[in-house]
Amino acid sequence: MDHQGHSQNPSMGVVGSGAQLAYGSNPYQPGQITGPPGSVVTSVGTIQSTGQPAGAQLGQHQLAYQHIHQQQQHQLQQQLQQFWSSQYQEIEKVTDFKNHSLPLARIKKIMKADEDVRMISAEAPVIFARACEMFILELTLRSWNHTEENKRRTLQKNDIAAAITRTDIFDFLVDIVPREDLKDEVLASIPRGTMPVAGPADALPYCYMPPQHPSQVGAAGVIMGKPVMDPNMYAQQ
Amino acid sequence: MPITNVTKITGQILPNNAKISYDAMDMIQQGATKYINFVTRKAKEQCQSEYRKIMNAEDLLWAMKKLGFNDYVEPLTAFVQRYRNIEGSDLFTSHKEPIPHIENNEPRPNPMPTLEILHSPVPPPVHSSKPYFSIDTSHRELIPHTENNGPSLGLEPNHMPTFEMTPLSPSVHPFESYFSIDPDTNLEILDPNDINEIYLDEFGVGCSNDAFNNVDVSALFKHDQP
Repeated sequence: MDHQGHSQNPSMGVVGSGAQLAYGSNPYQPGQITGPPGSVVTSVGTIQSTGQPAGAQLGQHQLAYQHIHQQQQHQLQQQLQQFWSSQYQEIEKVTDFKNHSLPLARIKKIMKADEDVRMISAEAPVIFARACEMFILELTLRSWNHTEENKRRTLQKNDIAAAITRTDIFDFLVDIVPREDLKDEVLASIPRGTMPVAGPADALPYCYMPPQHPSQVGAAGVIMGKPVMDPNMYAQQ
Repeated sequence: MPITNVTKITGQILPNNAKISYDAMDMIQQGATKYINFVTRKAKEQCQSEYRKIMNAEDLLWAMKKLGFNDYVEPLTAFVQRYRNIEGSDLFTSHKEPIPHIENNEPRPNPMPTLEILHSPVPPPVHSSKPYFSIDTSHRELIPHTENNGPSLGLEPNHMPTFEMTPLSPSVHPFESYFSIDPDTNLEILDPNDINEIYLDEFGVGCSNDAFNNVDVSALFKHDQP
């Protein structure tokens, strides 16, 4: 537990910088969709004012974010390995097969929901009880990983949606994921995709700069509305 | 799938200070149900391909492997083996059930003593009844002797009243005395030879009146004594 606590502290700080990076990338995306020239002009302005320091900061943010993501994935893999190892050890200690974590009658009913399934051996529900327990534990573990990424202590629907989206063997569960959670997950994945495209995005705004000068001011206003950007803007100014 | 069971399972893997929303719990619950349907549908393909009607543990493990749940197969294989070992011991327990039947056989010997008891009271009453029958027989034998007296009295019609009175009284007394004294004595009296001798003496004494009176009494005593 102490080690986990220590590891969480630096990750918390790093996550903060990662969040800044994420917010930095966000205006690029909406800029392209709604008022690309305006947002581009704004970013160009900031670059011109600070030049090298701005570029260095962006690079650092990207690297930090990638590192955090890799670290979290590595942590998850370790947790999963420990989970399966403990499962195998627990099974070797099982002596009572009459007390199941899940009711066998209910499992049998669910199995027989398929009309073609008529006869089931006595072993099948017992095995399924254990398998479902493993499934619930794995899904919960992967979901909690997403909860921790967002610095929350309450596991929510979107955490489960994220776990389902990220795990191939959970594809059959896409039906139970609400569309809203799917969209959120898709949007969350876009910023990472746009990172490598940052170069060409910077190149494009030069072409649009002169003709849409008046609308740029409006877009800048929208950007100003975001609380995270405020300190950066003031600092740059 | 009951929400309480799902809650307990999730509690095993989450930190103590972690919380889980009801919506999330509901999603996990639905996921578990869909997982069973998903694996069952795949296992059914295996059963049908081998023309089997009963779905067993191997079919489920095969399906999980095909569907990518490889991490589940190894622990569950060990689980199945342990389950079958314990199930085997349950069969051993079932063998113990016949033992009570053996205990039930023990009461069976009890009826035997009862039968013996039934036999034991029968012999005594049978033995006790025999002596009574023998006594009754002896009484019947006495009657024919009284009938024999008839023809002897008929031979002397003139002296009939005197003979009839006198011999009856002394004859009755001796018989009664013998009965009261010993049963064996009765048997001696019953001898036909003794009875005939008594009647002959009576005929001889009838010759004289005086001699008859005196001699009758003495003669009777003499015969009785030897």
